[in-house]
Amino acid sequence: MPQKVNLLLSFTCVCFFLSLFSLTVNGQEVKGKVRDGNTGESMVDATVTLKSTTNTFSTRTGLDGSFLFKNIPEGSYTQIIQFVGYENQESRVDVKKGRNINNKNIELQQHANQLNEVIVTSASNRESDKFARQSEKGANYIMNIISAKAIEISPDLTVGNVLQRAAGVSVVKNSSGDATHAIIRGMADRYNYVTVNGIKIPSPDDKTRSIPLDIFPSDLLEKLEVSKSLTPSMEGDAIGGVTNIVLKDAPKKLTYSFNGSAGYSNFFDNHSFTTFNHKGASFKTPYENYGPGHNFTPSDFSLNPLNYSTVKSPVNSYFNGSIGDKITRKLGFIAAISYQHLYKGSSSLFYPPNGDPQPIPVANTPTFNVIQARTYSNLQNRTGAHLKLNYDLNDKNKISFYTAYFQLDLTEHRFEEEGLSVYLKIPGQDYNHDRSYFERQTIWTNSLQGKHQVTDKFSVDWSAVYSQAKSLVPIWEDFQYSNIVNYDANGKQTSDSRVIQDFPLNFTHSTETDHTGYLNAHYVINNEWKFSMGGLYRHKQKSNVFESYELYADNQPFTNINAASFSRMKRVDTADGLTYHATENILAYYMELKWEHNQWEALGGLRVENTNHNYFSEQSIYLAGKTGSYNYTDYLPSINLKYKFDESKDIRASYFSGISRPEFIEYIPVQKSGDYFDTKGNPNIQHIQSSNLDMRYEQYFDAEDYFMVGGFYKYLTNPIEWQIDTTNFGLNVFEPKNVDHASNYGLELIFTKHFKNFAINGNYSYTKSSVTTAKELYYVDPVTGWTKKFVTQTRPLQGQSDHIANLSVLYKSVKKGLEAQLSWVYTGKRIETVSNFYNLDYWTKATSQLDFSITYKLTKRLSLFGKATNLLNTPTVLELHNNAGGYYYGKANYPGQTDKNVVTVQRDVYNQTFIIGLRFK
Amino acid sequence: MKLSINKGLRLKAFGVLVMASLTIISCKKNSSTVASAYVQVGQNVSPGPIGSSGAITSIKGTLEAGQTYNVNGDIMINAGDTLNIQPGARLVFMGAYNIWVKGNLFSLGSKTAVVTITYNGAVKQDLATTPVASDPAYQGMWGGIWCDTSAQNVVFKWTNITFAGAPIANTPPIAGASVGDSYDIFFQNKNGNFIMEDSWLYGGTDDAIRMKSGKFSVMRNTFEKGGGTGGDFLNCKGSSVGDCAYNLFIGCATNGPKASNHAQPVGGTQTNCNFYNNTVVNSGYRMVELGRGGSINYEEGAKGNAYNNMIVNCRFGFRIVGATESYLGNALLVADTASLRGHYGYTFNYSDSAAGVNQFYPVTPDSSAAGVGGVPQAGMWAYPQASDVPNITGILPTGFYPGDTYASIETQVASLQQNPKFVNFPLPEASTPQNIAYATGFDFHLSSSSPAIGKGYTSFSPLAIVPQGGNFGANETAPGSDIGAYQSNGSGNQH
Repeated sequence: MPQKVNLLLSFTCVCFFLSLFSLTVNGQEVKGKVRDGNTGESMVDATVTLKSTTNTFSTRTGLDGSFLFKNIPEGSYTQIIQFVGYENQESRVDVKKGRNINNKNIELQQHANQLNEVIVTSASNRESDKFARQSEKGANYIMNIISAKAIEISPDLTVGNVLQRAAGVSVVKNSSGDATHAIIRGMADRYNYVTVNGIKIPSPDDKTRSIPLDIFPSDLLEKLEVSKSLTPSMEGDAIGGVTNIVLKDAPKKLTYSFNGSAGYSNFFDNHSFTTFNHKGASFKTPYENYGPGHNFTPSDFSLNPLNYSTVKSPVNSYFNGSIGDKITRKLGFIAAISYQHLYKGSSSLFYPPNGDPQPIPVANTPTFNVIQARTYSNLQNRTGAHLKLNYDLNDKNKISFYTAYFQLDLTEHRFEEEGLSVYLKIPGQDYNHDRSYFERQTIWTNSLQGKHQVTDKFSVDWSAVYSQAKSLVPIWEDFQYSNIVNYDANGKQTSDSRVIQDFPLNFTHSTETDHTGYLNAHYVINNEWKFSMGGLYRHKQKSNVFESYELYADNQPFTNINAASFSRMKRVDTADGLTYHATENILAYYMELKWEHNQWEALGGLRVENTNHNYFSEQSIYLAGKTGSYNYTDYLPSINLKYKFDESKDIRASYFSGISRPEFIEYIPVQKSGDYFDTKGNPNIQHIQSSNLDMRYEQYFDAEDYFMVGGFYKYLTNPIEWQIDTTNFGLNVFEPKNVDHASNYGLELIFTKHFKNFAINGNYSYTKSSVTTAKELYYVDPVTGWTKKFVTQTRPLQGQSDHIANLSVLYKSVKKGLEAQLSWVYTGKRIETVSNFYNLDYWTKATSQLDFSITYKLTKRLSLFGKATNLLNTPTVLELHNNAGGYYYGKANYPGQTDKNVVTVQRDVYNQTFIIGLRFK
Repeated sequence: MKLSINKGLRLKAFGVLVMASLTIISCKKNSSTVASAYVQVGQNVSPGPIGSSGAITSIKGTLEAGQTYNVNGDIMINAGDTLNIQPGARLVFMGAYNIWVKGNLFSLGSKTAVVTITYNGAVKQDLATTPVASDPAYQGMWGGIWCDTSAQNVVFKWTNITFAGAPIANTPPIAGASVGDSYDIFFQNKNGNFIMEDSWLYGGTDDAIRMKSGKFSVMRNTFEKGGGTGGDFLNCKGSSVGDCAYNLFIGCATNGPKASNHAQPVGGTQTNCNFYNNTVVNSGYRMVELGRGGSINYEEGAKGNAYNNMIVNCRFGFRIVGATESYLGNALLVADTASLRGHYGYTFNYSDSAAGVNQFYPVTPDSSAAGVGGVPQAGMWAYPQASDVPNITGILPTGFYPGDTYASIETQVASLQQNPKFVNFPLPEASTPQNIAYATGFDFHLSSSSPAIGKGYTSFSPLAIVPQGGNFGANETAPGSDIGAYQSNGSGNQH
């Protein structure tokens, strides 16, 4: 704490000295900065004219909206600022000897009768690439922005897939190939947070704070921002970065757009799509439905979800629409909806790891359980809708309300053949699993916001937010039967014998609710200094329920599910830690100073975050940790500096302190007994703290060509890593623990270059992180025999890829009305799962993915578009860089193995997806 | 300009003050409070009802000789406390309750006054015709005896335990177990002692005794009807060390005794189990999975000595997993074959059927797939020994490797079916072997003409790892010269 105060003091001193340097007097000049009166963003390329009776001077604003006239003679002038689509702004300027004039707050208002098309194509269009570049440039901190225009012409349909195009960002994909989580600069999900319109949203996840990025349809976006450094006004629990999803804002004039499309995945050329009816399933758990004291019998459960039907050549459909208008002078709105109905499929081979490796022939020889072949049929219904109302009481007081709702229904059938006898057509025994899983995830956020210009210099803004995220899993039936098959020499099946195994029915749901209030006050001290302070208070509640019931099959033969009968059952796993209630209250406040002088800009200050976390678990009262309560305060200083060499070149440097709070489940000490180790939370876990340094050089060649190069360094204290602990009970307990430190540094490069009808943009990042944890080594000791001991291993952080690259080539011909884009993403290898054993981490193999999209303008407002994703049919491959067990093709015909040094653990194949559609706007 | 700087500084100073005061207001010191474990002081109990439904009652002291205690709720023995059960005491469970042991439990019956732990009103249905689904033995009527990592000594002598195996219904008050787990007895202190001798364990839904780790001596007991459709009688996992001898195992779902170094913890010792002079009958049939279920099994890094075991009409004979296979069917994980080499033999095998004779030395379940990839499957490693009865070493096909079928000797099956000549267990059996999972009405002593007499091996020693002798220690019986649990000199199993 004293250290932090010192930091603050030294920061104050630095600011003071910096401001002394700014006292240098320049020649007589008129300068200023032009902004959009509604959005406050800089206006590029506006014409500025100074007219007196004798002289006329003219110039244009630069990329940051600023203009400068040098050596202006004394006199009285009319300053006229003009921009297409905006009202001319005229004002009187009196130039007096020896006095410079600097008006930093010139605002242009959009034309009331501006034509729709012009808004779409004007340079000020907030959804354009150009606007995105301006915002990046104008931002006070390190940020990357992907515009709606870039998203529209990209092959991506969800925010998750869009994010992978950002520099230094890689994504984690789910079984259907959709990107669900972002890794920013090698920092996994837990180190980042997600906001919608700048408001943090709750998570539907049962264990973590993570936001499933595939829930957001990309069509609703105005832009996607990735911030990699923090300012005092931003919440402090991001060490990697912040993803801000900015939804379309209310326009000044009637605007509407619609698009509809259809698509197909060629995975279904040679796989059938199987699905089941999820209608009628209760979103409550059986215990909630029947109440305490009910004696459960198998007849309480419906096995209808285990009846499957086939969809032949399934066709995907997509629809998006938005409409916005300024209804009265005061009231404007936008309403948008997005709907996707998608059939996805994938297949994979999976070598499930055995809980222990073997000490022979060498220590930690990797060992696997029975090989599985899996096929997924995944039906996604994705709905997103939002409504924003802007009400301008007057010029000085504006109120807005927005509500956004996202829902993803996932109906998934997974067929798993464990044993591969049928797969390989050889005699043996398989275990077949038919898993029916239906999950509804929702995120709903509502906010009422106000902006009040109290005086010329003093303004206040506030938000009152209510948000709720849910995950509901009413169907999760994991039917299993064993199947003994025989084949003749020709590979023809001669017999099979199926016996139903005991199998579980699971029910779970999770709800996270936020009530948040924000208040910020801004004071413009003078042209150079701005002061802000403010804070927020958030009350978060998270409740999670998990129930599981197991039906005894009593060795009955299996013909079809409707012929099966079950007379006995038991309740299992109600208490594996997944039933809990947690609250988290955050009180955060900050003070921020912004200073601009000539080529310098600085933004910095201090943020204080107080966290009050409580949980209530199902832990037995006879063991420690049924409840826990935590209170801690972090002081988070940050400073962002920018030096502009000139209008087109600048350099930035920033420092910030960040934190990462433990995941909810990481506190919960309920121990789940596992096959090889028990898993539990650790009520003594502490939150992670970090110091982060950034530098970036930027050069803008014209409005759309640019080049950026930057580097970063992060030092984490108390990072949380899951490790085996044997000290507590003498058992193998896998639990989260704080390790001493981790570090992470890297380099980023971003560029865009236009050539006539072509544009190339790309980025590259190199990241290197390291953390050291204790791992087990299973070896043969000459005295004690087969023995385990702890050794340490230094490795990259989970999820960090050393190399990430994006390259896309755009072709655009206004004349032909044609736009096409070919996008390539390379993601270097990264650790997918950290093993508790030395040298047995699972790595995701480097991937190289190619996507294509094309738009053809049929009429002025109607265009035809197409998207083709995963052209190279890039699989997701998990592997183990250790093949001491000799699992390779040729020894024992291990399917899917090709390398003597590497074991392919999992290989998911998704095939290509094609979409064709019409867009009207 | 200057003015504005001053203003700025003033404002900043003001800001710092505001921040500081806010900080003072809100900044409680970093703190955390985690609920500690609740301990109810252990109470002495009097005969009659003990415990109450919906709660866990901590008890200690003595359950008196000849008295009956009706158990009306979960009971717990706190760490450091001891519960003594005197000869002839009866513990009758009135519901699906458990005994949680964090301290010491001594159930000390005698040959003439057996301690009984059972379920209220439950009656055995030991008939060949009773189906598994309705046999009360596999219903799990009361829970089980669950020992925490702090349980130091758990001793059963002349104790008759029946009808346990209900799954844990609520978050357990011990580490290492979860809701849904269902063992009759669960032990997990790798430094603790588990002793069971001259006792009976009847029924269950999963493993009858799960040794997650620990030192043990399991001698001269009778185990019947273990597990429903899966489970071993004595399932030893990582860091289990001890002797298991002179037991009768009949009608287990999977195996009698099984040794594995599965999940050995750091700081624990390698699993080392002596399985000798056991009689295993009619086991392995309710586990229908291919290649699973048998008699006596060593796998996944376990070592020990296995001699003088009698295996009658089991699904598979004595098995040592000899190589790791994760290809088809069940994953097999290799035992510590280097240590087991030369430490097994003198096994007596009998089967009614030719198919059973061919599984004296278990055949790799997917042997029909042998040769895939050009490499024979090598999961089985128990070589036929010349000391085994019958001795088949001389008649094996050339190139025989454990796990191979030895169908070429089928013509000699009759000569390989040597009846062990139990006093009262007619062979071949009147019913199929899986139907007789109980000992009542039979006598597995050897008649004087039994070919098992004198065929045993006695030149090795028990591990005797637990305290020996006296009221509280183990009374181990050294290896006997007759194969099986019952010695013609009257030693061995006393039931």
